[in-house]
Amino acid sequence: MAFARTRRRGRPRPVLLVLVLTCITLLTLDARGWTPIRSARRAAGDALAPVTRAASHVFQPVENAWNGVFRYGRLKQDNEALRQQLNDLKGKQAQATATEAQIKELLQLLHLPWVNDLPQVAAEVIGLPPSNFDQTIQIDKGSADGVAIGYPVTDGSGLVGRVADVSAHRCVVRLITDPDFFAGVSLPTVPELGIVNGHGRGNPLTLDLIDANAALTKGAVVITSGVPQSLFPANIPVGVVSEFHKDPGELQLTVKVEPAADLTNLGVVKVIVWKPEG
Amino acid sequence: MRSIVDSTAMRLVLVIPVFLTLQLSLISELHLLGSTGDVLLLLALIAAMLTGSRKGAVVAFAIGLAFDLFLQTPFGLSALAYCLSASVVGRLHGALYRSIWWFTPLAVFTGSAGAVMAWVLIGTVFGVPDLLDGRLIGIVLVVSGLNAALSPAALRVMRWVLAADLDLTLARG
Repeated sequence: MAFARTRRRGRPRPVLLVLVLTCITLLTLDARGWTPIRSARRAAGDALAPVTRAASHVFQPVENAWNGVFRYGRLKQDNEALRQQLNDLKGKQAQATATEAQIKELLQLLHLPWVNDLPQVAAEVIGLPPSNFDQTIQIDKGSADGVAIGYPVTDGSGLVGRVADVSAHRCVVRLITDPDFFAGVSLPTVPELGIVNGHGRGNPLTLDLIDANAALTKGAVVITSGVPQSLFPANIPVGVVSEFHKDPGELQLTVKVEPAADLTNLGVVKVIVWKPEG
Repeated sequence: MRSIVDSTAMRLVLVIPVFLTLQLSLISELHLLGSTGDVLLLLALIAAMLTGSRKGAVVAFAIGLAFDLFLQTPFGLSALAYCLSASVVGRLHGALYRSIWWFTPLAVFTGSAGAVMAWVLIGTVFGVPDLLDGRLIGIVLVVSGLNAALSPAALRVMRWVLAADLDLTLARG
C-alpha cells in the first residue's frame, strides 16, 4: 500500500512557510489590483474556455440525470408555479403595455433612456460560478461583440449582474448576489432612492437608505433608479421586497429583496450596451 | 533524480487542466443543497496523503493557484487554504494511517471539511464579506461528501501522477 511505504520524515515547516508567504504576497498584490494577475486570469480563462464549453456539452446528459434525481421534486413544483404565473401574466400584459408607454413618455421628458430601447447583445451562459464562494458567471460574448466592462446584464425577468472582465469572445459577469455588487434603486411608492447589495448565493439582497417611516409594502418591485451617473439605466427590475422591519432607534428600514432573475437557472442573458454618464 | 521530478511535474501539468475542466464544466453545474463539489481540493488532499506533508503542500499550492486563475475571489486564497490543509492532512495521515478500506474516504471527508473552513476563515481575514453564514454547513457537507465518494478514483489518478516520487521513496527504503 502506497500510503505505508511513502511515510517519510521531512522538514515541512520551511517549505510551508515559503508557500504561505508566497500566497500572502499574491493576495496583497491582487488586493492592490496588480495587472499581471488580472492578465493571467484572463489568459487562463481564454485558453480553457473552448475546452470547458465542449466538455459542458459532453457532460450535459450527466447534468440532466443529476437534476432528474436530485431536483425532480423542485422542477415539478417550478413547472406548476410557472404555469400559474403565465396565466397571471397574460392578464397583466395589457395593463403593463399601457404603463410602459406612460413611463417611456415620462423618461423622454426627463431625457433619460428607456431600457428596452437601448442596444442589447444576446449571450449564452457558458460557465456557472466555479466554486461555492464565487459569484460570477461566464458568457460567450466579449469585446469583439461590443461588450465592455461595466455593462449591465439581464435575463427576461430582471437584473443578473454587471460585466466585471472582458476578453475578445468571452466575459465574466459579477452576479447581483456578489457582496461587492451595489446598485442604486427606486421603489414606486417610496420617494427615497436606495442601494441594494448582494450577500452571497441563495441569500436575499439588502436594501439600504429607505426611511423608517416609508410606506413600503411586501412584494413591492425594486427597479434601478437610473439617476445621473448611476451604474445602470433606469427601470431594470432588480427584485421584490420579501421582508422588512424597523429596528428600535434606527432611522432606516431593514429591507430584504428577492432577486427578480432566477440566478440558479441562467441559460441566455442580454448585455445592455450602456455606459454611465460622466 | 531530475527526470523523476520532471516526470511528476509533467504529469501534474497534464492532470491539473483535466480536473480544472471537470470542475468548471461538470462539478460546478451539479448542485446539491445549493452547493457544488470541489475536485481540485480532493486532488490536493490525495497528493498530501500519498507523498506526505511537505511535497503534498507544494502540490496542493500548485493546484490551488491553478484554480485561483479561474475564480474571481482573492488570488492566492485557494492556494493558501489548500496548502495549509494538505500539510495538516499529510502529517496526520502519515501518523494515523490504517489499512482499512474506509480510512481514505474518511480522511478525505475530514480534510475537505477542514479545508473549506480554512478557506472561509482566511477569506474572512482577508476581507471577503458574508462567508460565515447558514450556507456554510451545507457547503462543507456537500464538498466533503462528494470528495469522499470520489476519493478512490482520485487516488488512482494521483498514484499515476506521483508514481516516480513514490518509487523513489520506496527505493530509499
